[in-house]
Amino acid sequence: MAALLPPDVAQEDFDRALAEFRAIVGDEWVMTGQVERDSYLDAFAPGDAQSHAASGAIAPESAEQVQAVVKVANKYRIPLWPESTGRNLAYGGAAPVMKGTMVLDLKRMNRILEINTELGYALVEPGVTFFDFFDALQAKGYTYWMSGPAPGWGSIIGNYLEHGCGYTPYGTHADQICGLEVVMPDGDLLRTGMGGTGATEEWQAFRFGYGPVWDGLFTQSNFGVVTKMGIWLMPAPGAVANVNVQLPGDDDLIPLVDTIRPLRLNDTLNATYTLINPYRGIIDPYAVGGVPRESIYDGKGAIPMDIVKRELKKLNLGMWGLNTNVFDNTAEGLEIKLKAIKTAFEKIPGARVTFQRWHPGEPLPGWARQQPILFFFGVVDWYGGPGGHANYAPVCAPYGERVMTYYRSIADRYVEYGFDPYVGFLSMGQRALLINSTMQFNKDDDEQTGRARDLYATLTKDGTGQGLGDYRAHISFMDHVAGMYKFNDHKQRRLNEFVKDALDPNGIIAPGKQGIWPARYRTMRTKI
Amino acid sequence: MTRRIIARAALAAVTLGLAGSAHAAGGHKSGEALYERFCAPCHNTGFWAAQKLGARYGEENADLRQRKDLNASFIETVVRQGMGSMPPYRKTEVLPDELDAIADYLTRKER
Repeated sequence: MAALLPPDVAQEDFDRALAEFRAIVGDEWVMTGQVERDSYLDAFAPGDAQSHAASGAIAPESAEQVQAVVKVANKYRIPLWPESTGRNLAYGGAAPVMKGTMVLDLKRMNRILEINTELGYALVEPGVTFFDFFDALQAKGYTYWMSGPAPGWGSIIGNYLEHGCGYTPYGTHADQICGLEVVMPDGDLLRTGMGGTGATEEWQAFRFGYGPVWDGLFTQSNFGVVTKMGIWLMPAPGAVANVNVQLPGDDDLIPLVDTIRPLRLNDTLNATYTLINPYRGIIDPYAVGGVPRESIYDGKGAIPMDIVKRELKKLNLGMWGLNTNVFDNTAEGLEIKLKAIKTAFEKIPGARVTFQRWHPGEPLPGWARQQPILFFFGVVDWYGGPGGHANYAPVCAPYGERVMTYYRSIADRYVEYGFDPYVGFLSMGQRALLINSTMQFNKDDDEQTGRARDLYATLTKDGTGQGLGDYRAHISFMDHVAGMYKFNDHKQRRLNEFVKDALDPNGIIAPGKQGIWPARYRTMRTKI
Repeated sequence: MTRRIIARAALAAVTLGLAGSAHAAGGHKSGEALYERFCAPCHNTGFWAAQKLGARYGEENADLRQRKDLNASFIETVVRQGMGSMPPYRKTEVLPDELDAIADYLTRKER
């Protein structure tokens, strides 16, 4: 007897499917034991991780095996949750939305099929991590730079498909995708764009091919299983500078955003930037440096602002910070950019602007964010640990007053629910900001974890009323966030589910992902 | 151009399900190299897990490489099931023989 069955699947069908899966991938790579199943739980779950437990996992090693697995899954109507490395931490890790779904673990497909140093692109499989890719680029002389997220543990394909970001001019990752290979829900194989010609020389050169551009169909969706991805690579720069700006005033977020906007639009600032609120200003250095929260505040609720200000002063930080890197092909060009940046920010009273520079031949500094790290995981233990965390990050147009309004709305809710409002605003492309708030909690503290869940639900409800939309969601809140996109009776969701039913009539690929439910399981949508 | 042709040939071979000559990510064999890849980013001195362990068990036990009390069974349990804030490593991520090599490295008397 299976410990857990997928919904709407009989035991004998599950057993037959497992036997056929084993014949495809080998006994070792069909995993249904308790310890193995538990390893696919969300390690940072905001609540009972078992509510998203998998009934097992299958780990194919090739696209051909994925095709065969998907065909068997159709035969027995077994729901599958594809994951690349399962390190989508803060968003559910490897765990499925729907309890009982089997994980389709693609980590064994870990080949870097090509790094093309003539045209600047790579073709990778899902199991390739940023650590792997950094090593491979180094072996090629590091003539192209990597765009990695804050932690380097995860998959390139996973991060790019989930609309993640890095900290270079190529940092809006979904914009750098050029050419996908996808196993469709019926087991058929698609290559998008120029991959449709059957030739490969142009596959990673031209995204559009002929006709509709399908790449976007497979990001943040459940319309197929991506087995190969082409990504564009940034040529190594001729000079880079880290730019740090500290501003002293309580309301200086407003001039900060308004000063950045034109500089980002004209590419003086030409990479993803981070704005840091007062709480994050102290939490990052203290959490990562091993300074416990209770050493600065052991009272109830969020740390009072007078204590935050006291600690910022000790750290020589302002109320608001900007951290970013600026890239140029030449040292001279970089200096022109830096001069313009300094002039612009020093118009804000009390601004402190500092630069660090890197030039070819020098060792890569940590601030260049090339060497993948796991530095930021220290923050999850801010309340003592063992910690968990989840992010609420609505998209906001970068107008100072508007950003401040919605920031205050979010931060006030954090304080109301007793959490320190840890917020880092991330730019996404030239014209959008994510108000990226993170709730940390002790995952063994049921009361605190419950409050975090309540806070998340309240924030999505607030955002829905404000006309905002989150850019990404934890598996427990995918329906909440899909609900934020409410125009015309949720036309986007209605379209998504129309497409879902057409492509995946048995509803086997990732039911519930991004709030997209197949007809078979649609009654399982969270009631909000 | 030659490099590109070779790369494309490798891709074609992989696509056809043949034994590909494309670069396989990872491929680190020694226990030390595997430790550096999977464990060091959190467990070497100065990093997050080392700070936590140092605070709990003393600075002399902060860095896993300094520990004298680790055994293979304990290492396997922690790696496969996680501990505290450390998520587990699945066997698709750290292969069984790689885990053995890491455990051997961390329990070896002389390093």
